[in-house]
Amino acid sequence: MSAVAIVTMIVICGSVWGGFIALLAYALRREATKSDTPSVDPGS
Amino acid sequence: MSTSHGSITETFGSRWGMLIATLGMAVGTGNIWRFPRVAASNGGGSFLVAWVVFLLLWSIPLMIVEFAFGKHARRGTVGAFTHLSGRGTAWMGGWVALCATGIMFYYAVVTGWCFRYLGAALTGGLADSQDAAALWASFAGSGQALAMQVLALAAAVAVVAFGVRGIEKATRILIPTLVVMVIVLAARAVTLPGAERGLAFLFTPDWSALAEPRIWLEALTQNAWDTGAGWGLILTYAIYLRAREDVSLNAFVVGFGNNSMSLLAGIMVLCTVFAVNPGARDEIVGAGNEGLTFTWMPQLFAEIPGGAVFMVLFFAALSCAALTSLIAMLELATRVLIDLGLERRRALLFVAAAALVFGAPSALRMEVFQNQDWVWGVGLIVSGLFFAIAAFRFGLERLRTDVINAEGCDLRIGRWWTLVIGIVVPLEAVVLLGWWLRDRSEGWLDPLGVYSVGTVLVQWTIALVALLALNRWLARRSVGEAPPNAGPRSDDAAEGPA
Repeated sequence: MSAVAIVTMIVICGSVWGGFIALLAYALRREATKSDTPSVDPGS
Repeated sequence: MSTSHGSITETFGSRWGMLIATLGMAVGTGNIWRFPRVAASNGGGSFLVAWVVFLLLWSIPLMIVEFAFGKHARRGTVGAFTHLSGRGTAWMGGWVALCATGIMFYYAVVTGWCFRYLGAALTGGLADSQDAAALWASFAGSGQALAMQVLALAAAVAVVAFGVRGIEKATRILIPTLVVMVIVLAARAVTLPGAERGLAFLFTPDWSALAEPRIWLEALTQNAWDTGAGWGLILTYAIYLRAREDVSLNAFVVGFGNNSMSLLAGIMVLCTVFAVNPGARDEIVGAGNEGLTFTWMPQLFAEIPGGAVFMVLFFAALSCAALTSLIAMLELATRVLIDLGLERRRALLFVAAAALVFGAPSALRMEVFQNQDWVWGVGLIVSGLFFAIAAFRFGLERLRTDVINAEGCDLRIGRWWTLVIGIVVPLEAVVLLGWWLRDRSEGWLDPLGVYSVGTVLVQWTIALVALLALNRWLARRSVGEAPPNAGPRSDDAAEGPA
């Protein structure tokens, strides 16, 4: 594999997989903090 | 379970469960059998750049609209469009539902194919490299394909009958299983001798290719078809979000999660192709979705050590991906009928019976299957456009500030989103529609052509005339006499199971 292909692979896989893992971890961490506070329903 | 007209009495049990179910909706056969082919035949690395760009300029902005609509309106596509953008747009919601349902009719056939090949892989029926081609020749378009379509529908009905909790439970098993299987398959593929040629083929960029409009149009199409954005499926699952649930961060998680699976599938397929039969790569990549999956992949697996096991994993993964997407499509149509006044089980049986009747021609004749894939696949671009129009009618700034960045928001969305939905997405939809109808069709006005513009126009016209004629009835049945463009429904108070 050429250096350009390796760099492209790292950038693409890093942004897509890294982005997914980071976003998922953030979502679950936010959820953990939300479960400690009562929710107000906007429709009620 | 929601059993009565217009009331939402059940929500997803947790955010994790909701994300898993929505990922299950998004990850389908398109990720596994279309993405690797399209990436390979459109410049590899340069296609991937365009593909990531359109994740941010089509899929995720539309997913945010869908999450916002479903959570705010607490109704299926028809009711949500009517409630949020006016009674005159019930037909647009109907179009979104019709497109997704039209796809569901033949997608049950695809799911049945996956089940059949999983069975064959489990029983050693694909052990010889010629078995797969022989099986496809005798199976596709036969009564056996119809029987497998019935089996696939029965499996999906068994899940949807239990409402959102049934969907959540099923996808909690199926999606982690799918992810593990695809990771195992990709890991095996990259460790095959010669696999690095597949990686080089996938990731070597040809920057000059980025000057070709076709690369960008293919990347946009792949995002429009395999992320589920603009299909109405996310809207349907968002009906069951808890009141405190976020909109925008969930859209980003699902978008990136879906494309992560596509990337894994691309690595798995191309590394296997280049390791086992690099000389036939153009033939394999050009064999079409069914050719690649049901003819070539078993042949390639038959050549590698332990291939029988990996073949089972491949078709099990494909079956999981297909079934979870079929479940979402079935729920979409069922939800619309529930909003129109039917009780869930009756609505579901009606949808399943319709899927059986209208899907049977696709099971029995490949030309019908290909025609329906063409007509309603292109129709999805119009669905995406309708979502942008509906959001515009509601008020993009109002949607952003009052719904997306409202209570429960974990990721505040800036004004860039209003620009993308108000200008970029409609432009993309018009350009993409023009390209597909002008450059990708075969035989302009022949109404009986499999891939003609004529067949699209005839079937779309019939659908649009029917939906416009029924517009007032659809609006009245799905939202009652309440004024449209109102605030969130008062019956969306459920924060847990009823």
